[in-house]
Amino acid sequence: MTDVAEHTATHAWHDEAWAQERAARAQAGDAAAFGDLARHYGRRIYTHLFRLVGHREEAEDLTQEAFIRAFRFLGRYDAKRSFRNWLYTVATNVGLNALRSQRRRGQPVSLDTAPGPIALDERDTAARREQAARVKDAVQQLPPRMMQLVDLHYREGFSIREAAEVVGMSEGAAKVALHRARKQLREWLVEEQGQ
Amino acid sequence: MTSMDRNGCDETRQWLRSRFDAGGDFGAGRPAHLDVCSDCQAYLERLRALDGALMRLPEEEPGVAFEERLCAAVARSQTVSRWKVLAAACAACVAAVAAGWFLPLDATWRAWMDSASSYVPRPDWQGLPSYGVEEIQRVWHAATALLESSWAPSRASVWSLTIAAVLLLASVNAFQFMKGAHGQLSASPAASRNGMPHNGTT
Repeated sequence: MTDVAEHTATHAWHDEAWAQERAARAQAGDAAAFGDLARHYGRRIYTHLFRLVGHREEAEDLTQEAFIRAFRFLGRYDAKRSFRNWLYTVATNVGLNALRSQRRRGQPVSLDTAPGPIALDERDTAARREQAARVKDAVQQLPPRMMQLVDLHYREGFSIREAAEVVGMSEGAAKVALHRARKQLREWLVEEQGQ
Repeated sequence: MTSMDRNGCDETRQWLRSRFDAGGDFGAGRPAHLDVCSDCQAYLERLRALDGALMRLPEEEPGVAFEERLCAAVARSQTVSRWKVLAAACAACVAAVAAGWFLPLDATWRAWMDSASSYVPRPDWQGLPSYGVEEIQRVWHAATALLESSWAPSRASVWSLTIAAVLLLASVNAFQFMKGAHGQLSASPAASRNGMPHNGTT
């Protein structure tokens, strides 16, 4: 294991141990412990939901809904399992339900820019920022479950099995979806320059 | 570019694409053409840049005081559920008062106590000596006599107990409500000091 991977794994373990301890206290009626969890995961859950709906206000509302639901159903959380995964599962369900009703209402998901080829110069900060923005926009244009898998796996560091569990897929199906997502992103962001 | 070079590029790019799509690295089985073709090297760099950008997907910036608003929303939802508890307690109170009013408590209790005090337990457990049976009967009679003399449920006693229980429940609820109104979901002291782990993605 490389130093970076080892550090990430150690950090993830510490993070999870901390979250499980807080979740156990929240289950025992300590609301301040749940406040800690909301502060710690709030922004990350918000980002995950923003990717899905593409609106800041709606993503904030959905984040609140996800935490309210998690707080209400905290009794169902099995303390032997990962709290992070459980929370993301709750948030993902909230997000996908919102997306379904958004589509029923006929509201398109708004995106600021269309995907285009990415800049190559890694040393140039502005070019890197531009590249990050384009990749982020392209990820948001993937189909919802595919996009969530990419976000969970790459941004949040979930393993493919964990990400599959959160979005309600088998591990094999998640691998295929991630393969398709990478292919799609490559075609959008690299091929135009590469050909 | 000659047709041979063109073929080398096609094969190399096909290889690079399949490696990228599968999420693999570009080390093992790397085509020799890559070492001599600057176009294919540039293509590889673009794929690596995309891989790197995926690993560094940025967090979104929510509105101002997002965490505070989030905690307040969760606290509000908790308050609503407390009102539900209070409503259930009130319904239970009404049911208890109705029970105290309609049920023939005195007569029922008297009938139970009469049958209990006239009953004589005669255990026939194997190996139990006669003084053991007498001892059990003595304890039974003492217990029923104590229960009969100490308390008999009446309408007033049932109501008093119900009102006491509801007052207790309401005061506990009010205490929690006051606590919630003063930032019940605020970060716990341990978290504020050093218990809160660093958020890996900033």
